[in-house]
Amino acid sequence: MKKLVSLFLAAAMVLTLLAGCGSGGEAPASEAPESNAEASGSAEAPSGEDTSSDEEVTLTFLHHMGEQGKQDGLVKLVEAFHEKYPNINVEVEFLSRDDFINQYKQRVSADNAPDLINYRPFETPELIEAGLIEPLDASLFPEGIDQNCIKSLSIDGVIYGVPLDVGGYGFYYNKNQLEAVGVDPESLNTRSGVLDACEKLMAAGYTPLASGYAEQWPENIIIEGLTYTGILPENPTLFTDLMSGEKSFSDYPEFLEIVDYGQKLVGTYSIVDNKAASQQASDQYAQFGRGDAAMMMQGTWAVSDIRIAQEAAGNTDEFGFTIYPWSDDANSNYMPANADDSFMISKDSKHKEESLLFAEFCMTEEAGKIWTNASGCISALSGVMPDDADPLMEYFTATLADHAYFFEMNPGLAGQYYQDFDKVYIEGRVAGITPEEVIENWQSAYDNIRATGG
Amino acid sequence: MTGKRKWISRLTDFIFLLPAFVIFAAVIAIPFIQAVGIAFTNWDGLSKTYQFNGLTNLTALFRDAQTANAVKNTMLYTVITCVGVNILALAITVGLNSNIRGARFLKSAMFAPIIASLVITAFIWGRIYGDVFPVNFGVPTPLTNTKTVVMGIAMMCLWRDTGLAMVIYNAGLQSVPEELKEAARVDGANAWYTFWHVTFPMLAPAVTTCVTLWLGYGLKVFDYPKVATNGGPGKASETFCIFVYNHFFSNNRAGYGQMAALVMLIAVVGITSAVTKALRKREVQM
Repeated sequence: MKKLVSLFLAAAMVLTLLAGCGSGGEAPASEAPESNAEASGSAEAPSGEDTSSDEEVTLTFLHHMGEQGKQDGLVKLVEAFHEKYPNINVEVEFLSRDDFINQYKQRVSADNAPDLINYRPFETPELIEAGLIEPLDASLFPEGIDQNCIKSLSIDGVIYGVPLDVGGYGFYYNKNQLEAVGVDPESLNTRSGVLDACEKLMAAGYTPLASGYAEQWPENIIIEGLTYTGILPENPTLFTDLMSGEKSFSDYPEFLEIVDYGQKLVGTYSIVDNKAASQQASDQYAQFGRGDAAMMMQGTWAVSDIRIAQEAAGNTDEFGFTIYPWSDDANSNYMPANADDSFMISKDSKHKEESLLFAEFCMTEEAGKIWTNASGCISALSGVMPDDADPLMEYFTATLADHAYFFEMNPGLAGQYYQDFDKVYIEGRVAGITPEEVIENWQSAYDNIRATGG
Repeated sequence: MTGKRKWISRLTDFIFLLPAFVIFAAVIAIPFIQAVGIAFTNWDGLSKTYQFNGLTNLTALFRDAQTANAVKNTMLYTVITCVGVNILALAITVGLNSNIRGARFLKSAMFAPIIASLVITAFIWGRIYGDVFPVNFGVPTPLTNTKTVVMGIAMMCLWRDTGLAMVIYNAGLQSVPEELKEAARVDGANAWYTFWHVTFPMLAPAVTTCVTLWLGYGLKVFDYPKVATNGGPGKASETFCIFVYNHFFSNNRAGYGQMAALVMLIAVVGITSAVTKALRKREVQM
């Protein structure tokens, strides 16, 4: 009896671990899911303020924007919206990007999905497939909206996202430090130009690149950015082909160069000492803003935090921005661009009408101005510029106009394939293995996913 | 006691247990039973429908190249923490029971880290590794190296949990009769001999408790690696619990993740039961 009781208690303790993994909600329905289009058609924008009831409503906006400027921008957007619709409050909740989508899925499982989610269809096609995201009607968007953004936020011609801004990633550079070592910023438009600049900077005692690679996402964009502009433009079905097994990584020789380049940028020129290995993205912005590193591979979204760090340090150096070149052919190098800060509306939102009102508000010039002023990002609405535009804005807009590739118009990686693409690369860089081995490991990981039914 | 009174007494006992039983059933047992079914489906964790797929998830789990990695990381962490916590706690407890000055303060100080939650501990050590180690000692953080990351995470557990194990060993030490040790000393036994042949055998129940506890904690570790490294770099610190979590959520393979959780349940119950049984046997023989 004593043994039985002990066994029962031990089992009970272990059950506590596993209970959290179970579905807390109702058993899934047996009928087949309706297609998104059939389920509700596309949600049209409510016309005018009088469509909302007087009932007090609180919307939840789940986001992963870590930059101070963007967080300030969200607060201002919400305040302006509340002023217009006093009965609607928007509660803004921040979650780290590294675990954002997992947390979102847990909320969905618990029937507690946020009304608005700061994610893009390209990153989570599984949410669209599962019918969790509200399709949007084109009438929600004004004529002046950037059409590249709209296409990037669409799957099979159906729009799922509302873009707040347009952006991309590239190299920030410190003009004074480049000048001191005799590097012409124009030369940064090729891979050799970047590596040569790094060598010269290092030889002169500068830290070539700021490091934030203790976090996963700043390194993800290193390898993803190169893939998006290096292979995807010529192979729009790259990711679906790799996931299905129709193509293998070795079918794309560009991957060898890309991995080698990425490993050098992070391993050799960013993580230059023990301290650098443990820095986060916020440290990276500050390092560059203070003038402790000559260049930084980051997104256009980082500008406001760079300026905060620059001002705090009293650094008077001038900064510039250029594309993120993957090859030595300047004509085939682009800035990986997308509708950076966007949000989607949960299909199961209990306040869909109010959520659509918020989306409609975000597409007004008033909201665009609020967002661009606070965040320092480029509004997705054409002609909406900040009152006091950052000097780097000129570089951003010029690069977006001439040398941008909106990679999210193509199908992306999903689920475990997306996770393993980044994880295998990072593990390889940390372990110091060769690009050939990274490619082998990628292939093994994808073969393994398929073999185990993923 | 008459039969009726006995029955009423038992009913009263049961009524006291009832609230806890209802909560346990509602929060743990029923969701668990529901979740067992999911392990035999291809549910992605998001869709409203799924199909029964029999033992496909189970066979896939044993074919999955990543399973071995998760098991290896979990076992390494468990061995380091289970052995480390017990040796450290026992050594410090015995040391502090030797009437040294400030022993009470040191005992309190050693217990203090247990107040911090697992998440806070991981944050604290993340900063210590990131800021103090490289700047003050010129040592890189172990968390960004695939070879040292599990050891780095295990250190967090050693720092936080040693105090708790000390409390258990301290209680055990108090129950060792002083006259036994005195007799050994009179017979000419030195300090080490007295500890090893008199004190340590008397601590067998405390050893059983501590080893079983930290074995269980180790096998199901989630919080430290989740907060400190998210299983990284890459998958270098992905424990079995993180493997389950990732499949359930990130990888959209809830059925597969649930099967992994079930297998883990059986393994944890099996391992801890076997170890407990072996240690208890030792208590009986003593």
